[in-house]
Amino acid sequence: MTRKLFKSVLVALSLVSLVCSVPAFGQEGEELKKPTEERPILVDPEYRVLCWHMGVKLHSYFGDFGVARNLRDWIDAEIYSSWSAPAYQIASVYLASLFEHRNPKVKVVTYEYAGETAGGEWPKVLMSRLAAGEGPSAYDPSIFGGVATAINKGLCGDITEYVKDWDQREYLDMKFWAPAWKDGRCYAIPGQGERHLLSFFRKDWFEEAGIFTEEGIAGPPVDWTFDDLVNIGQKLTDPKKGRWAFGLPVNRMLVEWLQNFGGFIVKPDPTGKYTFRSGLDLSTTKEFLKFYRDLNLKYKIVLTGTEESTLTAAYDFWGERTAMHTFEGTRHALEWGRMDRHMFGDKPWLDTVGIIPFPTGPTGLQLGTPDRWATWITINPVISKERKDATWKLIDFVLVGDGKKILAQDMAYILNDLPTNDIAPNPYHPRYLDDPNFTSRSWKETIPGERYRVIFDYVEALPVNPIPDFFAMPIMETAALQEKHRILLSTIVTDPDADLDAEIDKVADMINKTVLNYKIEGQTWDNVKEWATSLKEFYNENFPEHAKVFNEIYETSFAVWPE
Amino acid sequence: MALTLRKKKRFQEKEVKFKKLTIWLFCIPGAIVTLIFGWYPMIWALVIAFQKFMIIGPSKWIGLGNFSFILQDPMLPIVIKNTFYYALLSIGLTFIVPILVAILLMEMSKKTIRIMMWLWFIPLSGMASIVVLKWMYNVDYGLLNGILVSLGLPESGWLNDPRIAMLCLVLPGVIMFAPGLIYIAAIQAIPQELYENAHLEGADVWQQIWHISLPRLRPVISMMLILAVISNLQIFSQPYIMTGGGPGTATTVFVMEIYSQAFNRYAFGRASALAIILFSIIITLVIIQRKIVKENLDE
Repeated sequence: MTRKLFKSVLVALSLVSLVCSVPAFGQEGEELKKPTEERPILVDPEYRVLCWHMGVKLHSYFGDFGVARNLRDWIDAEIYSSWSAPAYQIASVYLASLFEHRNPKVKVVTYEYAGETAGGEWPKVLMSRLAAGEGPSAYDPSIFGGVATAINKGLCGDITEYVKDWDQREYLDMKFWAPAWKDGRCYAIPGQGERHLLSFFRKDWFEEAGIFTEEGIAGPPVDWTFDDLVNIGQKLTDPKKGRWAFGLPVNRMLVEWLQNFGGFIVKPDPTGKYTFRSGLDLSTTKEFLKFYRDLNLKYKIVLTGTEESTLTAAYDFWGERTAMHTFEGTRHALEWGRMDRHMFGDKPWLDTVGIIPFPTGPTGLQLGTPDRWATWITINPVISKERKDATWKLIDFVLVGDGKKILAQDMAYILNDLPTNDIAPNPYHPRYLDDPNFTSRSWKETIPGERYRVIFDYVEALPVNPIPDFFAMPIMETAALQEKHRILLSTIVTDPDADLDAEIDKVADMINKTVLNYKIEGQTWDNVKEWATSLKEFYNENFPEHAKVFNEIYETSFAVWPE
Repeated sequence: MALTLRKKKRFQEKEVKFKKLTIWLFCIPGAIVTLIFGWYPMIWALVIAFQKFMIIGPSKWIGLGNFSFILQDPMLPIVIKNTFYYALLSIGLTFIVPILVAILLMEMSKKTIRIMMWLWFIPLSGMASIVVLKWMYNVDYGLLNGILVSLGLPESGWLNDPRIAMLCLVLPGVIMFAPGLIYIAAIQAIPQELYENAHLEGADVWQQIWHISLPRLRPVISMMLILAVISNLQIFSQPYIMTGGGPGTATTVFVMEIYSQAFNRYAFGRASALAIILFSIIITLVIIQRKIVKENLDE
């Protein structure tokens, strides 16, 4: 009953907002003004590292919103959303209404999926619906253990015909797009959520422990190291008070930290028999794993254990057990800023929580860490041709068409990553922010204070490490890989008697035998070399201070360029 | 007269037919449910165990490919070992202890029995108890380590210690496993006169237990043992919620591996093959058990 009432209110609000907003779209009637500027080519196809920045925050639309249609006498679309924020709901209803208005044969129906989408039950729900010949018309297939796995399991529709003549195609680098192609057919388009990952900390606890930067601000310095992290952690940890430095998850490898150590979770197989081998036995990765273990067994500054996950680590922070939360996206900072969310008592969250980039690793690397969980968009393979056509039209409408403008205008909640896209442009998103019609606030405006602007500028200036892209090759079954990492991590952080090297070898062997036991067709060592060379050139040109370190890593870890 | 008899016979035949029809009609809904939710998935699982199963689109027959993969997977011996370890610990503790407690409880006053049954019933809300237990076992801020520290004793790793993690999972089952109540019900069904006669003939409490309670409980014990073997070999929720299978692989059990293959790797063929292996293990054990129990009953 409540849900029905809520939905009715949403629909009513959306209709009102639709009516009210028509004049706002300019003087040319209901048609929106087209961008006056020519869309620049924003991606250098030579360098994969630039492509990393490319995707717009499509996850907001298609990870959390799946779009579904049912063919009746007209075409229906359903928009799923796990977000219950009314503005979000209104935005989706509004978007659907305008799309319907433009496409009289299409009926768009929106409703909320009451559950967690990124993890939890959503993949199972979606899979069951697809297997039953139903399900949304478009969705993010990467939730099925990666896009390549989803394609292999038949969970992605063939969209080759649509992308063939798509005007965005020229902006998509195949090195980035490759995982979505199989046997010359395309099954998905990238929907990379671009955002930086950061650490969050309790300013009040830092102040209490007397930890200040040189400028006298409570918190760690922006260019802090992992040694600083340990020292600070020791000052902050006080089990008697029920305080620890941070929660250390074992359910997934902190790849964002690993990359600052110069480590890798996979490495290309030089023999060419397989595509990858486990990277756990690389010296840089081992060094990171030893550090990871010491955080608990030697320094005793973290909350961890077999049940500690990224989620419980967050609960530890918000539950006032830990002083820091090791990683969270800028999106959170932005949303909290927008919501003026009150946390830790009656104070606005920014009074208590500080933001800081990840520490510098022993290699000297302190890299910008975009959220590595790439998202993709595919079309439901079991729907009819008509529905596929309409779905593609809607995808285009949302990604590059006027739908995007609508979302950006009043419902800025969805475009929470616009500012990062502004820094790192993408082909789906021409610089709408320059358009006076677009009033979406940037994250710097949303989160007040000079201190934050300094930190954000600092984070944005950090070079972005392309390592999580796995050498331009798709990793199949990423969930299975994570599961094996959990075995290793939960052992080494809890069992002081465990032999680190032996455990690493055991799990690496398990991974090689049962997870990375495949070879991607057409992948050769030359591809890897070509990719690494492009990368080398990119770093030499753009981040010379890091180029040397990278070259050393590639040479020592993989002997990419043997004498 | 003959006509009446014939009529009567025909009526009786009709009545029998009607009864048979009624029986069949009553069976149909149950049979349909069993076929759809019992037999269909089982047969389907058997089929896809030999396929590279596609969720959408045609699956491919791969013969014994899934079984071959599983047999080479280092996880298989680990999960078999862990599952049997769990089952042995669990049956050892949750099977024997409740029988003894139930028998001894019957020697107490009715009021005490009632209170004890309440105490036994309340924690049966499994999931809620598991969540609380997870907190109790927490190494850093859990109740159990808090008690140990307050007593001046060294802290324990509980679920984080691979040597005792499995035991920590089994212990709550001693309380939460329902057989205790079933045994109490079964003991209450034993005619009181038997105990009174035994008492008059000079049998003490232990003799009464040994010669009356235990033999009378044998059919229940036999059935409960079969159920215990089946359920313990299929344990999932406790390790899944409390340890996620860790630390390392210390508490990763068979069904968790099936779940992982199915829902983490979307390898339904392999998951089905694993399920068939588990099914074969369980059915073999049950057959052996039935044989042994049958022999005992014949004695």
